[in-house]
Amino acid sequence: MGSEKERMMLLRKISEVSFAMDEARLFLDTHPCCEEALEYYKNMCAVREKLVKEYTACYGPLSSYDCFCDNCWKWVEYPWPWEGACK
Amino acid sequence: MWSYERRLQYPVNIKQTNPKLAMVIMSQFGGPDGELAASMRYLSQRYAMPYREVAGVLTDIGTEELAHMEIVSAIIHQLTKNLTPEEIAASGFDKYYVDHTLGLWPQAAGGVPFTSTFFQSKGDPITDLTEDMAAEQKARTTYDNILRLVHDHDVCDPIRYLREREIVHFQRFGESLRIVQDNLDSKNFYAINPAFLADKAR
Repeated sequence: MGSEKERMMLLRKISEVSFAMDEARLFLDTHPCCEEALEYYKNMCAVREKLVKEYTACYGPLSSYDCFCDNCWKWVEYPWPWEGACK
Repeated sequence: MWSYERRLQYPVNIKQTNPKLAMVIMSQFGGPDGELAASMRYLSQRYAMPYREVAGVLTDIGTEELAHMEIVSAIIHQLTKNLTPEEIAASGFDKYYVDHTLGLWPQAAGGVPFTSTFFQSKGDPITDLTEDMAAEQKARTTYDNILRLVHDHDVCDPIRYLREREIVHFQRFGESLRIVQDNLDSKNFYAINPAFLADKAR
């Protein structure tokens, strides 16, 4: 488990690679056979998978499908994304 | 279905509250050219879209608009967090506060409540996509108008990001309209409505 700063840095990396995929996905919808875009999407997908796995192990799940708890449901305990810096 | 991912598409970390500004930005939550209307517009239009690529664009942009609604909501929430009654009265936020306290409710900056009359789902691919392109430009203008009033970098940054997305979506809807027209009679795009069976059989 890292510091809050480290958590935010990892989350930022996940958001960056996810955005790359969000943008490429829209492009692929109207250019479904663009080889360059298909390759880009595949590469970003592999990077994202690795980062999300690391985040989930250190700071808890981003998706409730990845939330596994033994005694107490943890999904509601992690910070919500809209909370931001203004406490 | 949709599933929630516990992150914003673009981060929002505002340190200084500003209820007056929140009141203006609220239009991009529940106003006529806001993110809620955008998402409902595209997701509703999908069912009458006969071309698979374009139904994909409507699904994926409609989904991204939900993420944008969450970004705008986070901005409003952080701009109004823990306000005192004095700050509320002095900023002009009192008219909103009396009905909603510091909760989020979709309305335009002028207090007009969100309504589905902000968008159309006409069941005609050319009509719907022409509306979608106009909607992206209207939202871009609204963000330009907001940016003239914002001097806090923490607020400008995510607003600039949202503005840029309007331009990209406009481009994708332009390509979608082209795909629809390529499937129609080039001498008369309006000869039939490809989403209406009785027309197609004619």
